[in-house]
Amino acid sequence: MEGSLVLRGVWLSYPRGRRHVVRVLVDVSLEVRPGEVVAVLAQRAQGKTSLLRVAAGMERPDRGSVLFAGRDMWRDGEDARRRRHHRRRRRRRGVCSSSVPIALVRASHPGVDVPVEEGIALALTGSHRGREARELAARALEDVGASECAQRHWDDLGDGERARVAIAQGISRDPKVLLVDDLTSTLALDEAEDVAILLHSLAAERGLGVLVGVGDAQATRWSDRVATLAGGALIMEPPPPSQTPDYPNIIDFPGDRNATAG
Amino acid sequence: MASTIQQSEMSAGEIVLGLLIEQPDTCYHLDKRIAERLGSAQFSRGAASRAVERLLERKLVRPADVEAQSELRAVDGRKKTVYETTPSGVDHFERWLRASTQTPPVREELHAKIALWGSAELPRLIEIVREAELACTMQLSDANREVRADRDTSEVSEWERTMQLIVSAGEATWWDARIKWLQNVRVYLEREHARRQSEAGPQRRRAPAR
Repeated sequence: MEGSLVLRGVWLSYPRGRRHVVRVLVDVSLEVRPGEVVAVLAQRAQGKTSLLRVAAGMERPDRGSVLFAGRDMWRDGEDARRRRHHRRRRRRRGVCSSSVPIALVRASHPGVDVPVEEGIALALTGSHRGREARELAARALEDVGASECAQRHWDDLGDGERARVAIAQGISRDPKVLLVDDLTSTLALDEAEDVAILLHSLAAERGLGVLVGVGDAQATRWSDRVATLAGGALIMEPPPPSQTPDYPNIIDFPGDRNATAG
Repeated sequence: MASTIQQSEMSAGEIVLGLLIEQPDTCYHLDKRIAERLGSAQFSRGAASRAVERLLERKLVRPADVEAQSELRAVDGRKKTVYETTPSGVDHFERWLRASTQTPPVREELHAKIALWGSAELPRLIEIVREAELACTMQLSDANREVRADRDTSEVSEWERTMQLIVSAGEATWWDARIKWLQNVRVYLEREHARRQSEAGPQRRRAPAR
């Protein structure tokens, strides 16, 4: 489907020492459609962040494929090379793609100690002129209801404000898919709910696909579908039937997995 | 889930008493009010009428205004009895409300199965745990949809919103505990299965040589 993010049979492992490998993701399949929020419920150190990094194209899976809008992020060698070439040419001309397809959001320090609006604008200067970047940053902050934080520094923000600012940074480049890495686990109940409602309405209003990693069931309240991740295996309810099943057999039914893995 | 229903029906009586003290009502509406107040995680439909039956036996509730028989309310076109609490019902509820709360026993069918599983094939048990995990996830999702639908339709005060949030957090925590327990069980069983296989592996390879 147009704009869907699809993980199909993804395996990922990290080496631990010389002899051992840690299996982080085991045959994980998942689809995020435009306009829906999918929550992945997992305990600590169960592969939440790894899953999001693979989904963002930051980590190459050992096996399986990651598709965005029907294109394989890793296997489409020819296509990727062509894209890189174009990007380089455009950069030489001083123009760079203004939007990103996928953005990963974490509540981490931006690394530069400037007011948050300026920080978001700075990150956009590669692709936009200064004034335009500033306007985009201001609009993103407004969209998440954090305009009053614009002139403050990251260190002075509360956890709830940080979560909003991080989301603003994520949407400032107008992505099609937003990946959110556990922004709410440190928040109070009502603050966490406000952030969840924000993601829900961003998804609904902009047709943004949102994949959010969460640590507790309360944080799944405003998601359209829930998946659980433990021991590297993702268990997920099938999505509501779509008009056109573009990718058959990718949804993870427990019975299927046993048949293929056994 | 059999034991959770037993568990909840023990306190369903007190909940029904409390709701009837607030306002006399029919069993049908009591079910609805229970779902509104406590979420749908712990109570099945019909819990109210079962509770009312037991409360009638213990004379803690009675049909409202028996003499006149005027207190009948139409539900789906049929007339249904409206119940109210008796003085001893109110008394019972007051005592229950103030008593210390018991910790609910955690006994489930799956607990028993794991305890009795012995050395039978692990993959089947892992599958059962997986199915339970998926079932919980889907029920959590359903509950989420219901909570959201309520939230979208009603204009509420700040206090009501806080109460809704607290109730919904309670329900979510219940699912959270269950799902995490199932995840832990599954990860442990999968690890044990892998260990057994790696132990059995070399032997199997040696077998043909003999």
